[in-house]
Amino acid sequence: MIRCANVHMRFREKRVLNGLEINIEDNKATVIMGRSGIGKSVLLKCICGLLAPQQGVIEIDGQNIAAARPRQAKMIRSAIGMLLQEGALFDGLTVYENIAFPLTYHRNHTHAEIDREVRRYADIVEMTPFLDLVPRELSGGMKRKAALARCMITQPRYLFYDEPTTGLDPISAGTVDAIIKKLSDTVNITSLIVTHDVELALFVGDTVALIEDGRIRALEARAEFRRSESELRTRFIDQRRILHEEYHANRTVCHCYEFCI
Amino acid sequence: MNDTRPTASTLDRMYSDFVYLMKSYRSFLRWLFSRGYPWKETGRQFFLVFDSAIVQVIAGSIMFSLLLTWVSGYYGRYLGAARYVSTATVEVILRAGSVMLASTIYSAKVGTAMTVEIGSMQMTGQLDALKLMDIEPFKYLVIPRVAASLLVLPIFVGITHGIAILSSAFLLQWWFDLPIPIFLDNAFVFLDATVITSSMLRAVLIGFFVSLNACCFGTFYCDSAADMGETTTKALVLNIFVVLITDLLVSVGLRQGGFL
Repeated sequence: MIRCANVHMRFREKRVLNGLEINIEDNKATVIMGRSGIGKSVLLKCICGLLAPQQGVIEIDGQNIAAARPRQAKMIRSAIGMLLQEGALFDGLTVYENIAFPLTYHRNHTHAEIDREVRRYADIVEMTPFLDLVPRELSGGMKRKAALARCMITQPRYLFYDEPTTGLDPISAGTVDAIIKKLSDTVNITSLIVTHDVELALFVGDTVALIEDGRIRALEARAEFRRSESELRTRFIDQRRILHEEYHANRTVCHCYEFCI
Repeated sequence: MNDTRPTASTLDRMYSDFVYLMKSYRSFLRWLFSRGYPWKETGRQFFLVFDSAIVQVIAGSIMFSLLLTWVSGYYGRYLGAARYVSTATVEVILRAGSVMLASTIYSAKVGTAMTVEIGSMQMTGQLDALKLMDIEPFKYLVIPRVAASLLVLPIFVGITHGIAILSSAFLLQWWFDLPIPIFLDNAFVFLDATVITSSMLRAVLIGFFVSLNACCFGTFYCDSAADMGETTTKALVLNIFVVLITDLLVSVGLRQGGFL
């Protein structure tokens, strides 16, 4: 279980997390949604120890990673896999080498074991035909799928996704959604997904949270969240549609645009 | 009239850059002596670095010898000291020119590439990905590049020695009718082993500092292309100063110590 209590994080004058509190249950998929630049990725980086919050407790299986020494943080982090934005594949390596990288570097496995594991996870993310390509030859969706296989190969107990579908076309996004859902449902894993993609959140998340002003403002099961009529939920989920309707009704959304017409 | 004195913020930035660099040096030492040296990556970097700059080093050596031979040949004749032309040319090449030339080309070509490569890895989250895989970026990225530089720069200096001397011999014959056998008779009159040893020592030290600075600047936090451009420029300027200062200090130190 992951427990965040009173987490504060600021970059110079900008307060990003402001006393954030959330509990993430084991073997469930939790989605954290919020506007761009509101601190979702910062929260993920704090949870996996890449950033140290100025204040607060972040416990993973009862161990506070926010106050851990580097060696202990490393041990805690070994239970975590994270799909970074746009995959962060290594440019000079093929898809096969990228997926195999965590195993080949640590030299705990034979070549045959590595090969078997790479092919197994490549198969799960449907990347087997592309193992010989290098990242620049892949589409955005393929990069994320390959990166996901690389995260999975170390068999983490926690899997974090940082904006897994941002910048993808609907078809690629749908494929990535399906793979995340398949992993959440079939593998015993705790998933934490930060996104502003409402469709992904409602498809994958067992629990959905909304973050605003550096705090979690709503945390509900998917069905409840879908039914909820709270102002925050409405503002976040329906704002775009409301703006479109307003525009069609009186064309006052963008004066520049009106002027151009 | 514009006031061109550095502002407090410029000094602050220089100070924070210096502090960051010192912290990076400390991290380098810490990870250098940790378990599991990345031999394979070091070998890969050796070939990559060698391959990326060898053409520039050869071209630079030829250009350098063109200039040097013309100046020494012209003034040698003008001053009535034609017989010393080959000696002077070879002395300049071996004692100072080759190390400076190869190191400057190395800083510009290889150092910059290191800063940009690691910087762009940082921008695209690849350094975070390494940390999440329990791989320390300093160990996997910085140490192999520094180790490769310790080997490659002395080799480049050796190549520069050879090419510059050979080019000078041919150019002196072509431009100033100085036969190659006479060139070779006079060229190495004042030469001893310490000259070569000193140039290799300087190359090793410069290779170490240039590559370490370049890699450390690459790990600076950059969140935009402009940031990365600024960081790369900083690294290059610093490295050019490092080349000049290291060359000077080692030469003076060896001379004062009686080794030259």
